[in-house]
Amino acid sequence: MASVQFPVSDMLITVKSREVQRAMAAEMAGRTSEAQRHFLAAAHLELVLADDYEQAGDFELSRRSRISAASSLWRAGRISDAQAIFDDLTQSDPDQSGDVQDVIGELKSGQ
Amino acid sequence: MKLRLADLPDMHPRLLWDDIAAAAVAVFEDQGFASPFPFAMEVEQVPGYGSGSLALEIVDQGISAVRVEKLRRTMEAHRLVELAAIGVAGLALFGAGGHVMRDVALRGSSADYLIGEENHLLEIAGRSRHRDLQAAWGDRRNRLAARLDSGFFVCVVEFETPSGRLAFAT
Repeated sequence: MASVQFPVSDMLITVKSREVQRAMAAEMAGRTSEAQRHFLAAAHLELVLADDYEQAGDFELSRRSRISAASSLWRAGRISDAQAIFDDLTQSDPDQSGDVQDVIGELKSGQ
Repeated sequence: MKLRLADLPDMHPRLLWDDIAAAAVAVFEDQGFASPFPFAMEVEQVPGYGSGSLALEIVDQGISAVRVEKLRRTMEAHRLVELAAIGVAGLALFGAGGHVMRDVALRGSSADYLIGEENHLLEIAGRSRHRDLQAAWGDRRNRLAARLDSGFFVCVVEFETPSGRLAFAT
């Protein structure tokens, strides 16, 4: 049976990207609670996208979406949830653990 | 090449541009420039364009002056510069080969963008002073080169002269 490539929704990518942008804009303007709402929305959409990319066989984009999900959760104040994703990423790909540590370092320095 | 900030949503339809376009107007005006804002972009090995100088005239027609003023009141100057840099990058990418920004994701404290069907990564940096351009350029380029095996875009801009560099590297 031929394999079928799992589609990654353009609409989902667009909505997620705009949630990231709205979160960053709100954060830049000091609207903290609004920023957190949009970061949370972006995080959950990134997790869906990460699975979709994985199903489609694009593991680099899947990993990128998981890093974005964790970064979004962190900036929404859900640090333990973010850390759990970072831990999963480190365990699943130890060769890339330095990259994840760099991202965590950036998030900690931004607090 | 004359490009309108108000056309950014048509050039890159997946992203939101209202605040970015308004921030660009605020930053150019605060640096003493009037529309059309002159911008000298050095383009390096960008697919579909190649290398060379890209002289942009950036037009503010269609950008709400009310929104520009609101951003000036609510956003710190360095944040405005960050947003304005994204706007200039969006115009330059479109002007140099018609490249489309398709996605934005968070990466720690910053964001990275995906360009075109090939999903090439792009990092953008904005600076208010010309003398800070080279350091920003080296920092972004070295960081992406260390992180990636595939091709990537880097765009750094400064609003003092104003000028910038847009490169594709592998």
